[in-house]
Amino acid sequence: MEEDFAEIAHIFKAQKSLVRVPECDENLKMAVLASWQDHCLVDLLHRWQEGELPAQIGAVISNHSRGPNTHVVRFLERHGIPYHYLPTTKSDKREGEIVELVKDTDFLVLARYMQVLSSTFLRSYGKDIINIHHGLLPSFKGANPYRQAYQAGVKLIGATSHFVTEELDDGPIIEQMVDRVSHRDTLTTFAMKSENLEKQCLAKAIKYYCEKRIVRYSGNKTIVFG
Amino acid sequence: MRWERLIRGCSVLLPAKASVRGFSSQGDAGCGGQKFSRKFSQRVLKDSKEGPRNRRLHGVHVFQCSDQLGIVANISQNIARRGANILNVDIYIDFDNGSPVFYSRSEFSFDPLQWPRDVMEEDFAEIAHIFKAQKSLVRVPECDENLKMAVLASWQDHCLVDLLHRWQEGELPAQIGAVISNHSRGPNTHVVRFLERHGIPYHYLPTTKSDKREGEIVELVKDTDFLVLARYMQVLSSTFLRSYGKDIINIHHGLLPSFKGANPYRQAYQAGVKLIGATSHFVTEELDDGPIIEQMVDRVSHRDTLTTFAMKSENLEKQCLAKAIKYYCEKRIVRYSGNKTIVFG
Repeated sequence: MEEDFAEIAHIFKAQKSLVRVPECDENLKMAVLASWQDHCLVDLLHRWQEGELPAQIGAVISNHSRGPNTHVVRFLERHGIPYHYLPTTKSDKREGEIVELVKDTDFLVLARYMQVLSSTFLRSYGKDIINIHHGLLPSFKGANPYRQAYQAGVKLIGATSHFVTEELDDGPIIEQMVDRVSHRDTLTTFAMKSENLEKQCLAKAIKYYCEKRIVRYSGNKTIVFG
Repeated sequence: MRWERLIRGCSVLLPAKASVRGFSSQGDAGCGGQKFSRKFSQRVLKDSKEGPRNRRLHGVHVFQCSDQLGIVANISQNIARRGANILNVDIYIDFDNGSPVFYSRSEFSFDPLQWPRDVMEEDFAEIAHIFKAQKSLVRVPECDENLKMAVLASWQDHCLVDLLHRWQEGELPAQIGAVISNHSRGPNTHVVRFLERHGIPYHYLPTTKSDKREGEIVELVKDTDFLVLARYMQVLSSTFLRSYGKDIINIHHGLLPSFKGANPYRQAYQAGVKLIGATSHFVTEELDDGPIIEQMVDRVSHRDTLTTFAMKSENLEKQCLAKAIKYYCEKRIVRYSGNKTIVFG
């Protein structure tokens, strides 16, 4: 099969040609980076356990410590997935160690990881990184998008999953979801609604990615095959 | 038999003019002799055992003051002691900006013979005085004149046509004073014929880079209560805004604060977003920055072209603008906290 498709690729001078047999090939291997907020992490771990995300989880890396008796740590132990606590400071983002830990993965997932990865890291790692931004890009880039949205008086808030590029919150968008808000909403309910969207939006992105449905094209855009 | 009607901007059935006059002659239906201005609605006056004297009208009260004890109690008592029935009350207190501010919108039904309009104004004015209200207004949709708008449009007319049709259906409780456009439309176009049928003037005011005809526009719209920019492609200057001084509602064909300014479809297309939207908002000196009233989205994918972006967006713009106008005419929108809006349910 590989040969047959390679032949076609050769004939048409293909820029991209890949074959995958899900039941035979290894699942893509991801590492998940998270900070103290764990709604996205927990949600994706559960979906993974349910078989919804056809991937392997190589490791979970966090700049927030979690004790041995926490839900996340116990879950990971049960499944033999290492949890690496790498606290960061303003001056030390531990990027070198992270690259080392994830070098055998196929892609990374930033599940509300609150540190900005440097261009050095991106070049070092070199492979795809999927991030969930808790705002409806290109609105509200950067920090505190809930607060930005709240102050802007918008009537819709959303979450965006996208590939990470050197520009913050600027990479090719994979999926977006919205929910309605009104004057009755507080920052707390903004957060609640947004967290709900983030979980779904990130999970979808990971699923699409593992199923080879996403193709980056035309600069900053994605095709998501149905 | 008593009956009440909850009016929510839907087609309201009016009595034929004759019966209105007949009713008024029974002692001023509380409307103070004002003319009905509902061209496109007919209200059925059901026969009642006790005759028209039990006809009830619908009132709206909007209120804003510093939050303190007893506001709701006071307003409710004020309504109840006149034999009126509260149908809906929506209250919001803003705690975010120093001392809390109270906002409310109440709907009630009342017997105009028992609570004449001028007495109603006094009663509510009294409450406004007691609580040192920043805002206190009363509106009786069936008596008061509809708010009068002028619509500004350019060559794109999907929003204009849509709002004209909804207005004709009675969906938008407003008067249309005029349509002003920097694009000419011939006498045989749908828009011009429609406006002629309804006696609404169409003013063609072509603009150039150097002349936006703002002085003339202000003159034409000075007797309106608010303006609607239905995809009007000229940016109104601060001078105009200060000159006109009243509310202006705009529809922006993008999901603010994303894609401000020109060509939001193209901006969105190039950004590779998966959702596009429309935003209706009040116009302020900053372009596409005023308090947002309503937003709507639709999904797009790699399969969408600029054309389908436009198609989906136009569909959203029409709905979004119509909702904003309807909310505005029903006095559901209150601007607060700098750049935000309360839209009462």
